[in-house]
Amino acid sequence: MTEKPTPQADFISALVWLAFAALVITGAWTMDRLEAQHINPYTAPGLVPGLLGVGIAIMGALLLVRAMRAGGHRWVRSPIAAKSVDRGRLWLALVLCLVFGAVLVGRGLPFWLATMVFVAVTTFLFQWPERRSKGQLGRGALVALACGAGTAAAVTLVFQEIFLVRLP
Amino acid sequence: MLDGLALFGSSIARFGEPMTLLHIAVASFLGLVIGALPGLTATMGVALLTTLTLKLPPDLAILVLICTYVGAIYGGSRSAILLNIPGTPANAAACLDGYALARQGLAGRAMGISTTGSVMGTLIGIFFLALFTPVLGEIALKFGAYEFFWLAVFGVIISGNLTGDDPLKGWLVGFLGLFVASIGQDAIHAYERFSFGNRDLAGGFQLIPALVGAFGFAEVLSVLSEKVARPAIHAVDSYLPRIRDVLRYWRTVIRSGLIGTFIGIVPGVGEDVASWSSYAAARRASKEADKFGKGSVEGLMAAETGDNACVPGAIIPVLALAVPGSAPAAVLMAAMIIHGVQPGPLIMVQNPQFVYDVVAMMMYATLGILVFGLVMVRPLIKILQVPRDVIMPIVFVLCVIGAFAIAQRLFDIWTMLGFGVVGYILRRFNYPMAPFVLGIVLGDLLDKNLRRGLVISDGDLTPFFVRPISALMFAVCLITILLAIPAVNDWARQAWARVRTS
Amino acid sequence: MKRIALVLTALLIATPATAQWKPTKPINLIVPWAAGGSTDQVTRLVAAELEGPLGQKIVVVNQPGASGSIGTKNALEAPKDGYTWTAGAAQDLGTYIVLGMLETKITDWNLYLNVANVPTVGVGAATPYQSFNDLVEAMKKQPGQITVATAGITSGGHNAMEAIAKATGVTYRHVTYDGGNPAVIATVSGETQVTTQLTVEQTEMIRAKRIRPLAVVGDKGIEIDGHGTIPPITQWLPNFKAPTNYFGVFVPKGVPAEVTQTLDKVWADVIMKSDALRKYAASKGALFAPAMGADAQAKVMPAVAANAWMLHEGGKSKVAPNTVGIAKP
Repeated sequence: MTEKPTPQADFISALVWLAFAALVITGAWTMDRLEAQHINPYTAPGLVPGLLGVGIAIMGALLLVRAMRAGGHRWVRSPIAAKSVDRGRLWLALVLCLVFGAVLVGRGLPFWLATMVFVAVTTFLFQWPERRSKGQLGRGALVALACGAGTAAAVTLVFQEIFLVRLP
Repeated sequence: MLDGLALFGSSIARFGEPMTLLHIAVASFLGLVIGALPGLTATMGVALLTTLTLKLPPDLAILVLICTYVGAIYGGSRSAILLNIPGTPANAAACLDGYALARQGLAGRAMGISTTGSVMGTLIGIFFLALFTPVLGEIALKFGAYEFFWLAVFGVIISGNLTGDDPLKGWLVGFLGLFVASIGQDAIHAYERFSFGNRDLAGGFQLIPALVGAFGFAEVLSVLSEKVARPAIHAVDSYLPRIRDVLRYWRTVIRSGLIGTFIGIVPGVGEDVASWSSYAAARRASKEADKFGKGSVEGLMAAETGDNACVPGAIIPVLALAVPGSAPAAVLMAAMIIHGVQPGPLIMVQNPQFVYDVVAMMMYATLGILVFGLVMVRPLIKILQVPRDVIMPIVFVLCVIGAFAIAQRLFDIWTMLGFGVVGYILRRFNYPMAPFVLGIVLGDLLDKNLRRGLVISDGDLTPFFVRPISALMFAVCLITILLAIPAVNDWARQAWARVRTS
Repeated sequence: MKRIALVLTALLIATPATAQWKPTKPINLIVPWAAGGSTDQVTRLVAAELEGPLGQKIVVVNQPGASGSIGTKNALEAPKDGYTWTAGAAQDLGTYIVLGMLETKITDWNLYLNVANVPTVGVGAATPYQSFNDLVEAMKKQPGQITVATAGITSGGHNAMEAIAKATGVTYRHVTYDGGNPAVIATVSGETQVTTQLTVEQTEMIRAKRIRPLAVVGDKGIEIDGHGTIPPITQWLPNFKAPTNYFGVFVPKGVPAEVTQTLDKVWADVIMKSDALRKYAASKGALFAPAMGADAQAKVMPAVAANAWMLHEGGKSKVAPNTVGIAKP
């Protein structure tokens, strides 16, 4: 995260902020002003979101101007230079985490089982290249499974048995 | 005064019995664990133990709760330093420099700093709790809608300069945080904003899942996606707190202690705001402001002193007025009431011993965090030696539970996931996370108090500027904004230099 | 003595008269309001009383948000196995459907009531109003100027003030806070002049002479030791009708019959005889009023109906109360 963002990246994010501000302002402006309830107009629910939207729009415009002065509107191939990021690992992490958090948990599968599977699979997959080059895939699977089982047991014991949290 | 000392002495002596000390030890340890586990907050810990200690004698039960409260606020810094997940919302500011220090191989020192900071902060708070409770309690009543509004505005202004070198981006995400806080049922008319008829959205996004997502999950993603693993840290740098750190930053310690105590006294804002404000103030006053967010000892010290000083601060109005100064203090007060001790304006007359009991309890709680804080450094530091491919999936499991545990809703897990992904993208575009979190904390305060103030004054803006405290706070906000403009800042510096030399 | 009573009740319950429910895991009791508030306090007390006879931990979980509808929704949607309960004010539970917040009627729930709370008209100590009449006169002289603090549109405090406004023809300026206690504090500090929140939330400030109670919004006065008796509002408005606001623990219908049978029995044997609850109620200016079953349903209906129709007439409802079985009072 130490790399400096390119002006192109700022240009893109400024456009996103402006679009977002437009949505917020529209939402705030069309929000029910509760005239039927005879409320004080200063307390309309849309007041503060509207002001925030205007603030975001102003700052987004400033960012846009700044980025364009630095030449950010010219097209480049990869606006966020990220030499240190391995895209494959990123997508793998994202998919595994989202599958665990949004799909596995809370669908009737016991939490300890979901945890065990998630930790074991994730550890195993991320260690795959290293383990394979050393010819230790079997050992890697065992270690990963042990980590999964250990996490599942510890988490269930601490949260469910000691602090009485009903796990999903 | 002498009466007070005698009462205090008898309180100290009474809690010094072996069985009571055992309770203190267990409660401090539990508090620490509750604080360090993401999702178990001080509020939840105190509430859980209120039920569990209902059958204990009143003073023992309240002692246990106070030790838990102090321990939890302190314990949250462990996971902030080691994993970049704030254990409780109060420790979000500790993530910034604590985690940076840990990545530089200075985790032991960071934990030492947070221990000394917490102990010093608690002691400063106790000082005011012991001597000025009746006077300071009244401050709580001086804070009305107008003052809260300026407090929130001040927070928004400082958010731009909290971390990083690009204030514009800081304010942008700060405003995004403020907007996120406005989603859901509004507090004035119970009107559902931006909920699109969804019942979960109508309740708004909760702070803790958002926090765990933006800090924890985003960190999991960025650590796992790096091409080269960060080198594991095998050396234990130092695990004894250095007195030198305290002596060197004594101004920061005292300033943060005062800010923390003050924020504690003000009802409706708690440890999280205390730690952010101490952090921001330290950065502003620091000679090494550029180090903040990159592993500044001073920044971590400020954050941890501030939130712990807030604990005794929040108890001041509880005792003086039965007005809780923070969310855990509200639960603590409920526990006192359930146990038949009625705090409030009459307590100094009817039950002065109790006030000194609370002071003594806080002292023992401080001792508890000091002891455990020192003992637990060595085992905890081993966490950093686990390879990332093993520890990060486990951290993510903790993120999921952390988001879920507090209210036990699946929606909170989805919130955590969403904020984690958005947080990660923002980080890639070089936006800081701290202002975003501060925005979520302050959004509600800003929105409600602006509109509430306008209802009370019937649309008249003058009370925002003429009431004594709000006028002062407005002036502070204005000066802060003006000093942020380079030309004005230069002019002020030169003028100040001239005054000094003449 | 109390312990012996507990053991005896435990023995009584153990007699196999009916199918006996023995919970095998902790019970979640969802309080849909913030920890430390008045609902939270009384619920924790009741939970502690129930743990012994049920032989299982009861974990109080705070799920605040959207006027209590979020926590209630989660209790409603939880598996109907008897391990998830909720708590709060019956008049809130009964009116979520009218506000379009939740598809649930009060009759969908087994009600286990513990205390009843009555609002009190309290004014700040620095205000000039010495009696309820003074206040009404002042409100008539300055229509819409006098500030009244409550815990929000759906709160018992706002209901009480609306009823007073209707009965006396006055108008006022409504200022809302996050809960009963913040509303009372605002009145103590002088930010607002009046509060009509629950007596429970005002007792300590009344004792400390920071709030001057003018009238109890009900037909009976309340005695507060250290202060004296607060007169009932019917002293000034003889025809004023204020339905009682009951609080309790709610278990959704559809749970196994042995759960409700066991709870019925425990409620009758333990809560109705609970000294701790009785003492708590007396010290806080609440009414000790345990009830259950059809009796509880009958008791809460007037407040539900009054609340629902007031919201409807104020333009805040999404569904007309009579279409969901709430008749106009």
